[in-house]
Amino acid sequence: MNLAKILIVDDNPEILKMLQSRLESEGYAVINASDGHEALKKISLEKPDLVLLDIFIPEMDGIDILKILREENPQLPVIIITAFPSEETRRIAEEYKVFAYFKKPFQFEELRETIEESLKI
Amino acid sequence: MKQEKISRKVVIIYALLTIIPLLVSGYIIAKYIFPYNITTVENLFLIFLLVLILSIFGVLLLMKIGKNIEIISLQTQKLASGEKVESIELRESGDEVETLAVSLNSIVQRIENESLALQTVTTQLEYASKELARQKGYTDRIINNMADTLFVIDSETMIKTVNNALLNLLGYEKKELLGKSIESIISEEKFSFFKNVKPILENGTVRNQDMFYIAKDGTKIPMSFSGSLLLDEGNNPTGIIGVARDMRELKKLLADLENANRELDRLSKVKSVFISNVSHELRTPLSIAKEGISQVLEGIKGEINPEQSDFLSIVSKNIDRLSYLIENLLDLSRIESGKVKVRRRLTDIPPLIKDVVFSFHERAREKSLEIRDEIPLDLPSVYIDPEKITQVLTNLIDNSLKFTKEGWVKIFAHAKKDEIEVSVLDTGAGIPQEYISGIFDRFQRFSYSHLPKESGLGLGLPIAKEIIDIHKGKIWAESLHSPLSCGSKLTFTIPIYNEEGYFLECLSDGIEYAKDEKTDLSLIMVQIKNNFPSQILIQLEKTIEEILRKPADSMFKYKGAIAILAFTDKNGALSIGKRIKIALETKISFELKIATYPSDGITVKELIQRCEPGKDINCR
Repeated sequence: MNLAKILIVDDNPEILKMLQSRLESEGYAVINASDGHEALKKISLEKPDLVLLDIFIPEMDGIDILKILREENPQLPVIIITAFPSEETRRIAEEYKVFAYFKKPFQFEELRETIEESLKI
Repeated sequence: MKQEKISRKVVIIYALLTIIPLLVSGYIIAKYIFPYNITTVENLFLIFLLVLILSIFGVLLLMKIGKNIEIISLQTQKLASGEKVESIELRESGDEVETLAVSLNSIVQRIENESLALQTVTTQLEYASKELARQKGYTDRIINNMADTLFVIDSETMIKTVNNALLNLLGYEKKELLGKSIESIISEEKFSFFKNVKPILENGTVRNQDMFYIAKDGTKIPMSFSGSLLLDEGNNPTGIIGVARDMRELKKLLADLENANRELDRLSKVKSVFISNVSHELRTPLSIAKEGISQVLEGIKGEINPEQSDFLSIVSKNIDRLSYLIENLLDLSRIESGKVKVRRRLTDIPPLIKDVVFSFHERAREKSLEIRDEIPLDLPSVYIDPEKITQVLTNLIDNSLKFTKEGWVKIFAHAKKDEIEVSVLDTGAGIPQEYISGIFDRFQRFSYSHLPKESGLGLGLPIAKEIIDIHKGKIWAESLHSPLSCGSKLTFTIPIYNEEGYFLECLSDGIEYAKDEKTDLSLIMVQIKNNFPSQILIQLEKTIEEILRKPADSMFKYKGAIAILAFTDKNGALSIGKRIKIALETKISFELKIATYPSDGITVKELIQRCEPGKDINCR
C-alpha cells in the first residue's frame, strides 16, 4: 500500500471523482479542493505529498495558488493538469519548478508514472 | 452747299465781267467803226442786242463750266469724305476741266482698285481673327471642361490660370484666385511647392504626388498632382502647369478595401479562436468520459462481463478517435491564429525518425504491413522544434498506413546542400492526380469513395504543411505509378543551420517572443581574451549553464565567443555577468558585453552590432 497523500485541485466535481477513484485504486490517499482558498487551506492543514493542480479554477487560478504555495513549500511537488495549455502558463510553471505539465485529456498511465516519479524525490 | 453758291457767284461775276467789256467794246465799235446813218438809239439797241447775245452765250458757257466744276467738286467732296465715288460723267468740254475730270476719274479708279484690295485684306483679316477666337474658345473649353483641376502659375507661384474644375472643387470665384499664390490653396502639411515641386520640376515633370487642396471653406481635399514646366518661345521656364485629380473617391475605395480586409482578418481570427475554444470545451468532457470508461473497463468499479467489456472498448476507441480529431482541429486553428510558438533547438534527425517509426510498428503489424526507415546516421543536426517535426512525420506515416492495404511504408532521409530531405513512401492507392496540388489544403474536398473506412477528416497534411512552413522548409506530394513502385511519396525539407545561423535564428525567435510577451531580452557576449586550452571553454560553458536559471535562457557559440540569451532586463543581465565573473575571474580573463532588447536595439542586427566579438564597444 502506498501511503502518499495527494491533493487534487479542480473545480469540476466529475473530474475530481474520476481522479480520486483512480488514484485511490492505486493505493494513494486522496483529498480534494475545488477552489483556491480551499486548496491553500488543505495544503497547510493536511500537508499533502503532491498537488495535482488545474489552472482555471474559481477565486484564484492555479498559477496564483502555485506562487503562494511556493513561498511556504518550495519543495512540494506540483503537477499542473489543464485543458487550456498555453506557452505563458507553461513558462511560469517551469519558472516555479512545477514537476510536470499535463494537458487534458491525459493518458492515465503517463500520469501515474509521473506521480510515482514526483514522490520519489 | 456753300461750295455750290460760290461756284454760282463766280459764274455771275464772270458773266458781269464779260458783259461790261462787251458793252464798252460795242459802244466803241458803234461810235467809231459804224459812224454812218444809224441813229444813236438804233445803234445802242443793236449793240445791246449783240452784247446780250454774247452775254447769254457767255453765261451759258460759264454755266456749263460751273456745272462741270460742281460735279467734280461734288465727287471730290465725296472722295474726301470716303463715300463711294462714281466715275465723273461730264458734258464734253475738251478743256482743262475735262482733263481735270479725266485725272480725277483715274484717281477714283485707282482708289477703287486699292479699296477693293483693302477690302480683300480686311475680309481675310476678319476671317483670321474669327478663326483665332474660335481656336482660343476651343482651348478654353478644353481647359474648362476638363474633369481634373488645372492651374498655371508663374515663376513666383502666382496663379495665372485656373479651370472650372478647380473653381468648382474649391468653391472659389476665378477673380479670387488669379494673382494669389498657389500656396493659398495647397496644404503645406504634406506638400510644399517650394520644397517638393520646384526642385523636381527643374528636372522636368512631377507625376502623381500626393497633396491636399484647401477649399474655400477650409476642407482638405486629397489630390494626386502632376506638373510640368511651362516654357516660353525661347524654351525658358516661365511657370508651372499643374493638373491635380480628386482622390477622394479612390481614397474612400481604398479605405473601404482596407476595412474589408481588416474585417476579414478579424473574422478569420474569430473563427480560429472559436474553433480553438470549442475544441477546448470538448476536451474536458472527453477526458472524463474516457477516464470513467477506462476505470469500469479495468474493473476498478467491480466485475463486468466480456460483452460489456467489448462494448465499452468500442466506446473507448471512438472517444480516442474523437480526441484525435479534436486535437488536430485545435492544432490547425492554433497554428493559423499564430498562437503556436515553435520551440526550436538543435536536433538530430535520425533518432527522431526512428522513434516515430517505432511508434507505428504495432499498427503496421496489425495491418500486416512492413514499415522501416532507411536513413544514414551521419545527417547534420537541424534547428527544429522536435515535437512539431515529430507531429509532421507522424501525420505523414499515419496517412500512408491508412491508405496502404498491402506492401510497405518506408522512410528515407538524406542531406542535400543546405537542407535535409525526408520522404515517406508507400505502396498504397496513390493520390489521384487532380488532388495532388490541393492535398495540403484543408478546404480540399476529396471523394472518399476509394478510401478505406478508417480514414478521417484528414487534417494531418494541412497541419504538416503549416509546421513545415514555420520551419521555412518545403513539403510536397507525388503519386508513383512506375513498374518498379506504386503508391505515394510525401516529402518535406528542413533547412540545415550552421552554428552561427542557429544562434541568429534563436536570437530572432527570442526577439519575437520578447515582443509578444512584452518582456526584455538580453544578449550577453562572453569573450575570453587570451589563448586558452579547450577545457577552459568547456568549464566556462558548464559554469554558465549553472548560472542560467530560466529554462528559456540559452547559450550558444558565436564567432569564438559564448553568447547567452536571457529573458531579463539590463540589471538581470548585469547580475548574470557578475555571477560569471565571480565564478571565473581568478581563472580566466574575459570580456563581457551586453545588449538588451528593446532598450539597445529592436532587431537582430542592432543587438549583434552592439556586442560583436572583437569590437571595442562596451555594451554597458
